[in-house]
Amino acid sequence: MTTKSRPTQARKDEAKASTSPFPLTQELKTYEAHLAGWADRQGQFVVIRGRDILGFYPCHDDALEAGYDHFGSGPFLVKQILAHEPIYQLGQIEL
Amino acid sequence: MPHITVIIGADGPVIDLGVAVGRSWQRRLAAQGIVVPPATTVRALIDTGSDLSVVHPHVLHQLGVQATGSIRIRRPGATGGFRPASVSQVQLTIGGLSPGTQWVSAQVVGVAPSTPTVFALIGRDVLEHCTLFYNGPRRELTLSH
Repeated sequence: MTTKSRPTQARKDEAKASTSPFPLTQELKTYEAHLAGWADRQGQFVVIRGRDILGFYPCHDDALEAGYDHFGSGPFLVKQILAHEPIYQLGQIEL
Repeated sequence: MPHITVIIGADGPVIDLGVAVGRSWQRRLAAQGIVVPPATTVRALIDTGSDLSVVHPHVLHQLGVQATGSIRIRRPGATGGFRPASVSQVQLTIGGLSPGTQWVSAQVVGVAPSTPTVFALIGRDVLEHCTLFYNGPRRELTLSH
């Protein structure tokens, strides 16, 4: 962890064109489709890849480790099961 | 308590931020003998208007860091609407890379900052561990962490 580099504006522009804005669309659909049936799992963390549900875990770190075990670096969705999901405010971002 | 003083320029208080692969994934790569992508330093805006810290998706891609979470986001003052955004596991260090750098694990939101010269936002999830002194007349900001 010793290399220092700065992305150039050209690379940033290129990234805008090539980077998917949200890579977990299917996983989020799977989560939302099942959420109503998970009332008894409130607060637990679920791991989802595509339409597949890997399992439920008591804490985020356990869920993340399980995701890495099964799916490698990702992408996959680790999500806490919440009936009312918070909305976070981000200041200086492109929307 | 280490402290860093930055000039408040046209973009606001901008500081170097080291970004590295998350600790858990880094450990797994190392165990398999796979070279861990080197950490990088980016320009980051200190953004007290952000609940969470943000890293540009390209920087995450450069590190090989994938999305492992999703949250709902909106801009301050917006009412009602939100959009999903991906979250990734990384390590951060304020002030950039230097010998003896101390890394902290963080979940960052993978969206592009609106300022073209800035590739990350340091939000209140990180700033809650810091003390800020904003010296308007001298156009300086001192951050202790």
